[in-house]
Amino acid sequence: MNKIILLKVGEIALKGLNRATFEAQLMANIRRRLRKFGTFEIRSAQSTLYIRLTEGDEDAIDRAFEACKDIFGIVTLSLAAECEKNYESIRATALDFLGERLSEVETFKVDAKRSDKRFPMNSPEIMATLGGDILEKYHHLRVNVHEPELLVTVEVRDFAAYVHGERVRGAGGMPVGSAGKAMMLLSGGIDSPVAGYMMAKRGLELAAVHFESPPYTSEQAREKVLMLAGKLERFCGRLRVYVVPFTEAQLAIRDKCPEELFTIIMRRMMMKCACLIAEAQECKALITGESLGQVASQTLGAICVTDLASDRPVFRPLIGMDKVEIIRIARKIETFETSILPYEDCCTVFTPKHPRLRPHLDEVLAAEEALGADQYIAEAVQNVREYGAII
Amino acid sequence: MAVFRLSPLNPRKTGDFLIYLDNAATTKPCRAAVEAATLAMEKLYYNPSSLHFGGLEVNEYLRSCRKTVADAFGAPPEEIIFTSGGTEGDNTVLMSAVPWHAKHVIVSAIEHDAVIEPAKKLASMGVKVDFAHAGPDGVVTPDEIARLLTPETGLVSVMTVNNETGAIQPIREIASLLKRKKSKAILHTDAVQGFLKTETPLSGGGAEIATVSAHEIGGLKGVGAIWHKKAVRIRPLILGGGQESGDRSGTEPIPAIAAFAAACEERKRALSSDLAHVREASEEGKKLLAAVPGCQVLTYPDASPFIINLALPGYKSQVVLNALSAKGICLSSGSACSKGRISRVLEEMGVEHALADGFLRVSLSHENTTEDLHQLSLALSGILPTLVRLD
Repeated sequence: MNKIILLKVGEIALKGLNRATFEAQLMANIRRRLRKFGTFEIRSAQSTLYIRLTEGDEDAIDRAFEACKDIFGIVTLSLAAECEKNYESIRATALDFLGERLSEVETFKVDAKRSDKRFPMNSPEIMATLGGDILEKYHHLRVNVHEPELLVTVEVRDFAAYVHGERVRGAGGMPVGSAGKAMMLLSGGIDSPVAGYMMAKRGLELAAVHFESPPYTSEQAREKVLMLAGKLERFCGRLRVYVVPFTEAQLAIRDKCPEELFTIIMRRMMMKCACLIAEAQECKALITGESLGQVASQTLGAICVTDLASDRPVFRPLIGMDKVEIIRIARKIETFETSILPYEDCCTVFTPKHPRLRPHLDEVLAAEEALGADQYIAEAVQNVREYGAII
Repeated sequence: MAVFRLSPLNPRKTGDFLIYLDNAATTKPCRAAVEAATLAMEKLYYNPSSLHFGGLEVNEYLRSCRKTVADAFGAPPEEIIFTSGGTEGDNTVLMSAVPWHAKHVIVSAIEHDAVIEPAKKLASMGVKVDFAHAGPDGVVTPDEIARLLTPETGLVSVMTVNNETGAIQPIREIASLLKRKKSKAILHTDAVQGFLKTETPLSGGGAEIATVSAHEIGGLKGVGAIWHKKAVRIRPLILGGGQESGDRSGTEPIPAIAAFAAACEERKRALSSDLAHVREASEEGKKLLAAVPGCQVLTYPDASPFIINLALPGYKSQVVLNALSAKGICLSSGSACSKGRISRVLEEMGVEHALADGFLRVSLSHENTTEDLHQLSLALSGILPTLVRLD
């Protein structure tokens, strides 16, 4: 049996003249993501992508199908069997390919689409005949046209006919890379991986920056972040992590700045470091996991002051979400379990007891001036190290 | 645009530590153990239960290994059951309380989790479980056991040497108490930290059952033993092919057992010189460490020389560990199995939180020298003044 993956592309089909660019990006992403399973041929026709295995193990197509579920830019996908364009072949393929599913369910329905109008049977004829043939083989089955447990779909297209069962919901969104590239701030907590995931879904290619403060933060804490990056790679493709040594900066803040401004100044310095690295890595925006009011550094007042430290747009996809909603996504993308491992991150090492909820910009700027913040930023960024994700 | 210095991706530690002082977590396998395991893997790969010449040969070899291990306990070979390690041994013994119809079990509160957790399980199964408390010196006294002892008590479990403090427990005195009170309770000792590290062989120590682990004495991970007096029937936790006289099913891991026997033989032969050597290094080391500003050596009257406790008030032990680790010095903040949590044992002893937060465990083997501890004291003297005190 010749198995084939059918992918329906969503929003990108609406994109007028840019469509070719989007589709090319999606096809490149798919090709890269499936490379480890075998060699595939990807073809696009009638807003559907067809993926066919040309070289690889027998189960490669099934593994590729699983992987496609995580690729952004795909709305629905189904695993189909390809056959010749004659009814006998369609019947045999349907009974063979869907036999196991048909014996598991109690109700079914046949749906047919005939885009090749030269095919001798029309759609209702295909549905009725195939439905009858299925009932004849599986006596336990009943037809339910409203809520069938299994929808058997036959598509008669230009070059071949396809039979498939359930259509699975894809990851949706836009192909990673189609919207450009951004730098995410990855702390090791629950929120930042979710923020990265959400922006990758809108088509951004990602890089990540992480701040560490050895010896106050451990190597395990860094490994945890690289593991989170590994979890995200499932959705966003290759993700490099730029690790910034931040101990000197944090100690200086602690020694020279008013205690209630520790957090806000640290956040601003992190933003500035991230912007410098973003510039070098050609990232046009930053992504953070802030959610309004979640902690003192995420009040409107604090965000206003933090925002001014960035020379590029800061995307905060979680800004209007509750912790419960964020956790739900974190569980879905399987970052939650890693995020809650008990390793300290550098944000929590020198936390003031009473951070200022509404910091004044003048005051913050004066404190940064007195600190000589720029020198610490330059030094930290100069010693940044690039890591690959841990899978 | 900034230019970054990139280091090789995922730099990994090579395992060539400068100084290893975490021998209560695990020890380096001794040369004899490695050679025995290698030989067993290359030549003695047959299943000891097989009836052909290969099986017979390996069975014979297994018998000789059992004899060697039994000698280290000062016991006959039929009183030895090989297990997968300390945790399995402890679980097997504690769970034997059920078929023994023990209505009451006493477990010391400073036991390793491998005893505490099955004890909690027993409690959830309806067995009455009491936890015997330790004094400020980390010792569970016979009086404390006497306080909890009832005519219904079927099992008393007190470890030989505590894994965090090194406090030696009065097993012989507790055994005398049980005799005096005409108790039918069986005395078990988790001897993972005491095996071949005290003068008295375990069989003469007063307990009727002892559990040990091979990797704490220079053997391999994945193997250990239960020693039990013949009169005390151990009930198997793992059922199957009836190996180990039916007490522990599963094909015997011959290479690991071979290494265990080799390590037992070597350590038993060298026991008195090991003890003298470690005592001297430990005493000298304590003096050096006590001279480090900010570092207190916690001494208990009756403690194993293999474990030294340090308290660094005002410092977080994890931070000091990170800094020492960066210098290639490995030690631990307590039991390596429960990192990240405040030590249950120290809490039990009523150690102040300020001290417990900055608690370090230095654990020695016969391979360590005074020079290692000298290096540790130098490293601490260098590191402590540079660290911010987190109080």
